[in-house]
Amino acid sequence: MDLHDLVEHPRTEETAGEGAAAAVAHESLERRRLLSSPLKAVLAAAAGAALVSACDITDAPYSRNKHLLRRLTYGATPASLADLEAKGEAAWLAEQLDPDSIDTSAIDAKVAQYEAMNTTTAAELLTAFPGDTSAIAKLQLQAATALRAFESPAQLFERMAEFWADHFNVPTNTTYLAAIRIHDDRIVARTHALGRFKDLVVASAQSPAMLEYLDNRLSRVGSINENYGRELLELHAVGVDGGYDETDVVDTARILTGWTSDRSNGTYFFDQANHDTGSVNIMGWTRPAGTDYEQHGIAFLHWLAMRPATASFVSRKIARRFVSDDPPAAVVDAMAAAWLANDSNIASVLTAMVAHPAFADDAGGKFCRPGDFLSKTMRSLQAELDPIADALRLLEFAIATNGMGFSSFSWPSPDGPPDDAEAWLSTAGLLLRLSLTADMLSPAFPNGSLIPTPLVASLTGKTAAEIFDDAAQAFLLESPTAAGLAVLSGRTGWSLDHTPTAAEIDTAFPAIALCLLASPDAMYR
Amino acid sequence: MTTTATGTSRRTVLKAGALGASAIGAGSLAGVSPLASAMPNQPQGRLVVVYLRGGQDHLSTVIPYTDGNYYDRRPDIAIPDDRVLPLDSALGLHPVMTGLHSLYQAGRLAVVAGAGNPAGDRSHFAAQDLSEFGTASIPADQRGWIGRLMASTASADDSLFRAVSASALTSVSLRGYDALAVPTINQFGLSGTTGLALENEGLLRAMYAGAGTLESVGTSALDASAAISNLSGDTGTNVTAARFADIPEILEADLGVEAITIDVGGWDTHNPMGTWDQGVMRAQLARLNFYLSGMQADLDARGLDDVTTVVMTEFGRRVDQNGTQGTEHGWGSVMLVFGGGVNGGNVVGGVPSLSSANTPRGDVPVAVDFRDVLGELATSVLGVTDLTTVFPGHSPTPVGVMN
Repeated sequence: MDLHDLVEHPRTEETAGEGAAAAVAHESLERRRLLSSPLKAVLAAAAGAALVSACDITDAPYSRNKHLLRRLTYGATPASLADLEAKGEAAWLAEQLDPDSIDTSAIDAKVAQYEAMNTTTAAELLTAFPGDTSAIAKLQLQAATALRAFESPAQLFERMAEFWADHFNVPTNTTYLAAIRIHDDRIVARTHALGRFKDLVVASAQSPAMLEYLDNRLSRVGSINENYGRELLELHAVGVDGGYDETDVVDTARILTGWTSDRSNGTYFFDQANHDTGSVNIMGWTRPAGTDYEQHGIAFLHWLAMRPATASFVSRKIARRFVSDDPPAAVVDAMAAAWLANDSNIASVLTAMVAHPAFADDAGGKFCRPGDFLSKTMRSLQAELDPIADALRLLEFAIATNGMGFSSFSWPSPDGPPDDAEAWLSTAGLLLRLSLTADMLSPAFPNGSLIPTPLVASLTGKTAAEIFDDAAQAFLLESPTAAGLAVLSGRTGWSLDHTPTAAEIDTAFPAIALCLLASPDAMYR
Repeated sequence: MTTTATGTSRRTVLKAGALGASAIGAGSLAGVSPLASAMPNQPQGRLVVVYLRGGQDHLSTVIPYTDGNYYDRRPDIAIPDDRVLPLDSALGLHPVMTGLHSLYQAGRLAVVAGAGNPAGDRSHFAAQDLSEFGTASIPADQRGWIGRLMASTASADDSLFRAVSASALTSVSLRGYDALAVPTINQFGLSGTTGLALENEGLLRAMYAGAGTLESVGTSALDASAAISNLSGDTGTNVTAARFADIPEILEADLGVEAITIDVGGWDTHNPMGTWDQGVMRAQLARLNFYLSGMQADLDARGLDDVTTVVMTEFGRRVDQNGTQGTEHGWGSVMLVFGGGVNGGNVVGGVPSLSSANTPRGDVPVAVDFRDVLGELATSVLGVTDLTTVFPGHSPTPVGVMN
């Protein structure tokens, strides 16, 4: 069964992100700021300070800690801010970069309730989820990934696991890939999320899912298939302008002939009989002596991982996720230098990124991808889900984000989903963000509204101004602006000094929450 | 539930804020000031742009069925000469493309053989971008050819619906103009599953009343949602089929649509492509034939004779089959043009004898610059005469696909 037509077919603009393309995206954001709040932009320029947001609901000065949480986690909350403030940036970052030091037992136990997530091999998945039942494995992977983003304390680990899943994209668009995608996620992105790129690229090259998706499993001496070799160079390593030609593509395919899989049980093996043992020259790299031909391929991938072009290309992509759509060259250069000095260690690259002054350049200006928006909303609501009892809620999320062009593990082409605002800001996507947020606040949502009842209870006896401020602080960690207060006051019919009854608060709170959580500000991080 | 909050008429939905609050990449960003050069075009018709993502194979679609080289170089995947649906004495369509062949025979479909971009880029993503930019190298403005066209002809009374992506995301070809993204009629709206969003439409409008890019997109989305709320839309589960089914209904609704883009994926056929009667390529082409001829039949049934459709891809695939009975990224590709105003029943361009000498890099050579085809459509369908603005660095020459 070909599931392809059941998913979105959004296009991508990975390669267009280079140079001028990204400059335009940056210009768009600048333009948004100027149009949204000219006075504030002028003030910001005068003060030389970055602002959290330039929208009409909240308006606050730059906060280093909030910025760290908004970028490196799936959403800042009062609790996560308190945790960061208590630990201090250095200790907090060190902990986030060492996920083994973080107690993830609660979320691990939740994820373990999904039978597909409890497997260890591709063979188990293929046996347990044959044919169309592989859709169950895919849905469990999507739900588990959503839960981890919402609730895992190892937030930066989850963000990087998502980054690598996007970078080494394998869509679940066939029943076979839907069945074994969990295995790929485990052995590639989740095993090496903060480790060495060298290990990531080898793990991906030997992943049965990648071998299936980009056809390398079929590529043999004398009858090669260029698909994987080309995308390895263009998308995974040096980038389209990385200095390779068509001969390099062919030789990359040749050095990896015989890297195949037993499709029946989803295991990688090196098939020496079908390996092309001839000489190759890939951007100057030639085969070492000896007849351990599988090791030649690994040596090539390790060499490729340490090319300066690879360090720059992938660092820039990381910076697009965490810094801005058009990251300044200085921060990318610092990250690439850390890459080359630390044997492609990703934790070192992230450390260099966060330490660079340009990390703060675009604070509050990064447009959330659909998944980011959902996760941020869930974290704002402090909502914790049960993996089984809340399955319908998770299904609603999957359907809504799919409608936004963002179904996890489903991007249809090997470049993976893009990062820039221009790709994600669409009329259709925005309507779905508004509708989904409203649904989550409605008592008619599966298992009821996700509104945090302790917050609502704490508002009794307060004035409208205090209620609006408390809600904005709880959800966005900021106070409403005058414009935001006017909208809230208009919708509730409460003057700012009015003290509503508990019943009035209950009735009005969905609209108050919608106004904050689906505000233009809330679309940015 | 079906009336709009702002009382806008479905038939004349104007773009809110018109030019001033134009969304991302309005003309001023592209170096084209719509206010200064506002010179509304006089469209003769409406254009549907179908993009086949992944590099669609020329030689399985439009087949040089008398060329022995073709059969020698594709021993396992060539389409037998006695199976093709002949277009002329040299080229024929895949046997599964019966609906499109009927349109050709009726003089309503023109085939461009050997179409492509002189850039000859082998990357999907670079080649897709260039074809949507309408250029042979990355342009300074990073805007799409349709976006440039719309921005350069924008006026204060532009319809909100001038340019539409039948997708969750906005096509690159529409960048430079604040186009709508409408995945399907039934997937586009504020209702959600609980109704709470619709109850709060007034609140949402107030929240998005600002003049910024995001706010402008939000207001456009709410207006567009209201405007199409009483269209019925296709309810099938195949998203691509639903989009093709929705297009005639959207066009009949007279919303002021000038161009709609739609994608069909699944064309990156490195893996075994199959033979004329089974396999991936046959299934892909059967679906495509179903989508395209079905849409045209629906347009005909509704009497919409001013709609022209063009089908394109980022590149064709190489002549030789690869080691796995698939094909690699190549160059020359097929474009199809059908519907209103088409000078059909003929082949433009062509495919030379596929000898090694005639196929440098192993490619089907490009005989027709894709911008010459799009340029002719920009003029004949969308009424634009200043094509150098639409296709920077190129002066398109009509190729004769339109009357």
